[in-house]
Amino acid sequence: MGLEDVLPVVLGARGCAAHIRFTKIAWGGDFNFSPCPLPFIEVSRSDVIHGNYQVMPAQLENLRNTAHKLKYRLIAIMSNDDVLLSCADLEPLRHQVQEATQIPTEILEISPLAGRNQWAGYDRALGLLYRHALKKPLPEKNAGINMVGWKWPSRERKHDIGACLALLEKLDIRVNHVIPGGSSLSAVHDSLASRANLLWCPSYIGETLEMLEKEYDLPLAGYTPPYGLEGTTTWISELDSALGCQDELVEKALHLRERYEQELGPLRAQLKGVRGFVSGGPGRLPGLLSIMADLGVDVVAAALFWPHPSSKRTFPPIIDKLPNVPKTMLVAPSLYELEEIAENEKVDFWLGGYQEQHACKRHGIPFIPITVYTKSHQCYEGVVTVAEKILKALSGFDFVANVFQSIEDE
Amino acid sequence: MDSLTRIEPLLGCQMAGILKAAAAIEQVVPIVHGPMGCASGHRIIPLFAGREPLVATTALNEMNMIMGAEDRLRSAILQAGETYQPDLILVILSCATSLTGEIHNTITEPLSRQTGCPVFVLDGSGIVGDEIGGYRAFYDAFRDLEAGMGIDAEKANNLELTGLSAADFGCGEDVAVLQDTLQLAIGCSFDRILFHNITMPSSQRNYRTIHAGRLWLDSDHPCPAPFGAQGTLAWAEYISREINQPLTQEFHQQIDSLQEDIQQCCSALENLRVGIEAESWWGVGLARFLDEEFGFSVCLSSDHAAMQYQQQHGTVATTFTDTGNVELVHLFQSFKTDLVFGSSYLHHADWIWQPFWQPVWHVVDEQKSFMGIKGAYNMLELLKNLERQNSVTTQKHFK
Repeated sequence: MGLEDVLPVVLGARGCAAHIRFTKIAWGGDFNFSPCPLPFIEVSRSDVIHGNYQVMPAQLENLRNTAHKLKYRLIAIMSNDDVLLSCADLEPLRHQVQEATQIPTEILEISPLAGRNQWAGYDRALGLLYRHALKKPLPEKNAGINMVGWKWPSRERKHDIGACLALLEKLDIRVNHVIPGGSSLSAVHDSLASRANLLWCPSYIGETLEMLEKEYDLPLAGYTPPYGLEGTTTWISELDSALGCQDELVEKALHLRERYEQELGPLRAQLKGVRGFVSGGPGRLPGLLSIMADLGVDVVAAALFWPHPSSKRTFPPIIDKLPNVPKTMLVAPSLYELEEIAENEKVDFWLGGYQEQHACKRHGIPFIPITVYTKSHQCYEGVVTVAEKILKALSGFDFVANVFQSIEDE
Repeated sequence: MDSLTRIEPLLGCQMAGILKAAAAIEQVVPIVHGPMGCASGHRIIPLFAGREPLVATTALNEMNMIMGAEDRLRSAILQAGETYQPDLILVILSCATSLTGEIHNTITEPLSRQTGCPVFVLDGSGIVGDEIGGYRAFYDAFRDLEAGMGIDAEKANNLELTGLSAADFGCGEDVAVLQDTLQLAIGCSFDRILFHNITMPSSQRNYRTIHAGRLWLDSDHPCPAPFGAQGTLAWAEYISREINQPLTQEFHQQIDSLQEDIQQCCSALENLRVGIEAESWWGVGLARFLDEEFGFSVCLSSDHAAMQYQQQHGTVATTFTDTGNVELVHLFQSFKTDLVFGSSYLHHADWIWQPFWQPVWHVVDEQKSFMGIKGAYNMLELLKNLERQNSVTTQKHFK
């Protein structure tokens, strides 16, 4: 729902709108993500019990004005838990909103209760966008590819998307569209003309992208995320296979990799014997572990924020490349479990999400944030960036002196 | 614009208010009884209070809702008791568990005995109420717990201030200024602030309560936050009456001096149009300062109490109820606003933005309070520098 011309509307509790918009605002501005409305249609407990989902005329008028003022072309109504539980037919509401706004309106039936993992939401949202796009005639195939998956939409060179685009450009790969962050409905439709969908995080793989692969000749690449020397090379080799390039891309990539191999030598020597902890989601964790393998860092423990079916495929080869198999691998860890690791394992550094920094501070462990950063950790260059950050943290630099700000050298 | 017509709310659900109240108390473990998204989405609140974002959850799914979720709640409470040895376990119902109507007290009472700590069960659902209601629900439960300890408010000899949250933007600075102001004005200080840096009570103590923050309309003579010379004087007089203590001469002198300085500043600043996004105690207090002492035009988005108070005590601002985010940006644009006090949602190129209300992101510099005498001078400093700020930003409406 990060497209510029899609207006998500929450049906249900105000809190869903309030905290989801916070997520969009918190870092969005740093990554060229413009503030956008996240309206909600308020319902009472009595409305839920009676299945009465009608929008008041004044609110409908306000919704219409907002949608037209900001030139939205699709409205997606997202129901919350109560609405889902009441099994109400939302078609009358959809019709009411569409009639009033004269903008195509769809229901996105997903709520926190419907799935414990975020990927269920990614897949449903992508499904809604592509179903909408597939209503139109298919465009003719062309030579480019798409990059698919959620990232802050900045295309700046130093940010993640920018780093991936720069690498692909060096390999003479034309990227037609980056979907969905900062994209548009017409881009989603036009992306059906591309030769492949390349992901930077496998957690977007689900029914939707698999359907596009099987039925619309859009092969999927990117089960291995583009982190580290080995990981990035594998990412490129998956694209090579998807495009039928017969290792041509891999050979070009290996030339690029050589430069970073040389740069990495002294960093590896400095990091020899260093013990660390790493956490992340189904894309970031295998990616960061791949970097640790490149650096020869001993990962004592790791935590996967939430599992995805692709994890069975992505983790084993990466774990094999680490100097030692991590003593502890957690899935969906609690703060208490992380506290135990911080207390017992005496790691030299901690690469993790912002909620983990307090445990690190208590135990004097240098902390490096993995979800808020302004210099990409991805592609070949990311391995150098991460290595330098670890060394900096080990020398006493505080990346999280302010809880809401990642402080980095640019 | 009111809550019947707006589409983007200013306030979060009851869960947000409950967590804001609890965020300041040592050794409280909140457990969100519902899907994990409700817990993870609210972890930011303890972070705002400078605390570890411990918001546990029973992580329910649809099947749990159909088959019953009591077992998961029971094991979560026992786990929380064993792991954290808390002083309070705070079970917060989400929309889903609020709707099913399971009677949670029947299991939580024995678990409270088993874990050796009180267990609150509060409804955090957004379809039941907003965060003001959630804050009150926690406050009432806290009061009930204290009452069970035999505290007798009639014999109060300590002073407490209510209605605040450690998660409020700049709460630490505001509390320091409030304490200084009270010390200067009456020669005393608050012995306890609900809820800011406190532990769960374990023994009897009596307090005289001064209502503020989210509970300010509980007072028979409500007084908005002490902004400006007149606002600070009114607030000090309010407390003076409540505790039957006179105001000091020095306080009067400093207020008079501040008044003169404000007058001088007023002559240099005219026709400024100000937007404020804040809960009512803060919002009305600041609006009254800027309207009555500077003569600025003020537009305010706040909770219902802002409208309620102004209906009885006179209008100080064009007021919208519970309206936020981009919808509020559009309203402030229509108002041709020059200066905005509010959250990061209102950070916009059309005006000078002053962080004032959560959520505020990316604030590194020390924040200065605008309350009390000291805060009023901070405001004068800000206003004097507006012209300079205007020259380096792309202001469209500044006159």
